[in-house]
Amino acid sequence: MLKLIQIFLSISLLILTSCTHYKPIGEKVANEKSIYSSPYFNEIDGEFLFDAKMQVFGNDLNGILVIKTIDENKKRLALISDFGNTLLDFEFVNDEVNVIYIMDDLNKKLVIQMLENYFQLIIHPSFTIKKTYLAEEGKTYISKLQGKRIFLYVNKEDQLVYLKQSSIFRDKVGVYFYAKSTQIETIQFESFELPIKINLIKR
Amino acid sequence: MKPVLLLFIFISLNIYAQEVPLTETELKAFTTRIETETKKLTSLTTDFEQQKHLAFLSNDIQSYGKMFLRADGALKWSYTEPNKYSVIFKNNAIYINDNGKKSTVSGDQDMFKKINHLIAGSVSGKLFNDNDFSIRYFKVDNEIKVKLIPDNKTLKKYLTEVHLYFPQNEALVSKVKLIEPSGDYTLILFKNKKLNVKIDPNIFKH
Repeated sequence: MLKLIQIFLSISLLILTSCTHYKPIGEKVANEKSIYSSPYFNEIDGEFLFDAKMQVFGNDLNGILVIKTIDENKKRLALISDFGNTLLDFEFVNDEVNVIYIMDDLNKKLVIQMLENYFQLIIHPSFTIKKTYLAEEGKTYISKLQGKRIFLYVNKEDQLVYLKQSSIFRDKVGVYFYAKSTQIETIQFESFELPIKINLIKR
Repeated sequence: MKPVLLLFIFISLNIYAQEVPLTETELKAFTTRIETETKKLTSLTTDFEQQKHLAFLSNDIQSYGKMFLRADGALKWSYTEPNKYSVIFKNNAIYINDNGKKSTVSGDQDMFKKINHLIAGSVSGKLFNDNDFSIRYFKVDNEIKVKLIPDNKTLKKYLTEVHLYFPQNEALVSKVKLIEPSGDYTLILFKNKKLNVKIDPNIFKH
């Protein structure tokens, strides 16, 4: 019985300590709005080109990332190599992702799912706000996407500066957005689960 | 018949009419010329403009650079705008210089050889005797268009067709169009070609 209590206490402690990442800094306040619209990539017919520098499992890869906003619910995203060949071409419609083209070497279910999820986090147009926290630097909105909690850190101008995706046990992904007004200049993406980093610099 | 439909048929016929297969005599003259000239080729340097066409984008994505090719097969593809980035294909390896950051790739040798062969062969015209492609020759305005359709399984994954354009009476390609399975393509235009000039060995140093 004593052993069972010890195990229970250990698990409780583990959950408590592992959940610190799951609570934002600041004071919980009432939601002022129900939806947070991302200030980036939402201009209809907007076309965006980025130099993409990727570190994937220790390999350095370069390319060009292309994003086009077709309408308020639809975007296209393509990654091409420096030589010009298309590596992938995805269509994002609301919460769904359609593969228009993927290079044969990348055409594996797990890889596609991972790429879809990662790029969706970067270009998703709007998030339902579940909770709001107020801190000195700005606010944190809590939302949900891909079945996981999303933390949207916005500055005092309500501009998205950092997005974090977490499960109850650990942080999954972090994305920094560096912008001048709503014109995005640089995006830094990092997976906390896999050795993957993507640096996007406006071309 | 509706006038719009007639106009469409006329335009379609006109497009096809522009692409005329070479006669046997023309083909022999053309391939002999290419063969003779490429035999004399010891080096080639050229500027290039690369245009990537994606159907959903309103403008093509452009890059510029220089290309160096040596008779031993060493090839340097050097982008200068908008970013400095170069790739050297030499001694069965790929050497990359990304704005000063150097790396070497030793990947799939078969794929590497095919990429190197495709680029070098496209520029010098040596692809014509290649078993990896079915080849057809056409006259289009003042150019000769060589249409290569990959037969090789590996190449087919990446390219549906390669088009090489030669100005009339010239032995060197002026543009290359690489068409992908998605229908998107990359067009490479070559300018300021210099044949058989001495290339500084440092160009191929990593």
